[in-house]
Amino acid sequence: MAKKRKKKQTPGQAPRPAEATTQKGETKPKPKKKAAPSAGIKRWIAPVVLALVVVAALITAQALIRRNAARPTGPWTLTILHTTDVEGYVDPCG
Amino acid sequence: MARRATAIKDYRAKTPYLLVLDAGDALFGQPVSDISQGKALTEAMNLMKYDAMAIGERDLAHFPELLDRSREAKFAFLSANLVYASTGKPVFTPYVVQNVGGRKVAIIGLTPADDTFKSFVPSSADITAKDPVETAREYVAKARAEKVDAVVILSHLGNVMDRKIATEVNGITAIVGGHSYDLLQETLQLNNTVIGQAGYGGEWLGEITVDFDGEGNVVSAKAGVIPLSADYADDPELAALAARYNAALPPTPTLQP
Repeated sequence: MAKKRKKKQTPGQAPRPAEATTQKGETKPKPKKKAAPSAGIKRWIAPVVLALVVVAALITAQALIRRNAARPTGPWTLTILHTTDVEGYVDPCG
Repeated sequence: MARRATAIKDYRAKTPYLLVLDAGDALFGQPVSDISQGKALTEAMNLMKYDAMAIGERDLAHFPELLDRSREAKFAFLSANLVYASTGKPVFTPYVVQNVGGRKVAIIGLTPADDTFKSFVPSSADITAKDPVETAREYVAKARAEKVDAVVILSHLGNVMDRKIATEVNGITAIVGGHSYDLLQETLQLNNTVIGQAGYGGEWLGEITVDFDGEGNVVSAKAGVIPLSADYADDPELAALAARYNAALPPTPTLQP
């Protein structure tokens, strides 16, 4: 009587997947969860916001420095020339 | 007017820290100005590069045409205390902060709130005038909060009210006055505020000078008037403008013998 022999694994042949050997009723291992597309975006929000805040602060500081630099310092004299109650005159000496 | 333009040009060549202001009742009152509905004087003041004018009661008598002139003007029509009675909103710009050679100067306009105002303003205009002293206090504080170098009140209140405001409200550098026809030839200074007024009819040009030290403190101030005599030649552009508006006048009727 010919003995039933276990089929020998040939070299190079991939081992049979483990789940294939599991018996009926056993729970299959869950497949790894794929990362949601929104998670990637969320990861970038904080650095982008931080970068924008830094750029805005730099622009504001530069504008303030420029404004102060443009504003003259030191003693000065304000001159005001003024008229009043001209009342529509175009002709008199004034 | 043509001599005034020459005098103003002379000053512009001398200093970058120059303001040219009118304290009100400027645009109407003569046939040439009334027929043009205030356009003649608005155009002239544009050419002379005025910075601002206060609203006087005689200007207000021509409301709402005055609003049209304010849109055509290249200078500010100021009144901090004129508001619409129904809404409380300002009728004109209350104040401006002018860049004067790099310095910041606030100019606040004030209009009479007494019986003079009531007799001139059309009843249909829905305009009321708030108390000038309280309004000055409010707007001087606002202007000072903007870290300005100087605060000027452009007042059509008359000299008595100008003195009252100078005494009761702190922080005013100068008051340029009108309405009472005072020709202030000497410096008048109260509570560190210099007050000037240049008569009427455009025959004089008022001059106020205020010296500041490097810390922004007033060290001295002067006020006076310049008579626009024949020493000043007529500015050709202004002379041509006056001639153009005069030519548009209807001929004066003559009495028959």
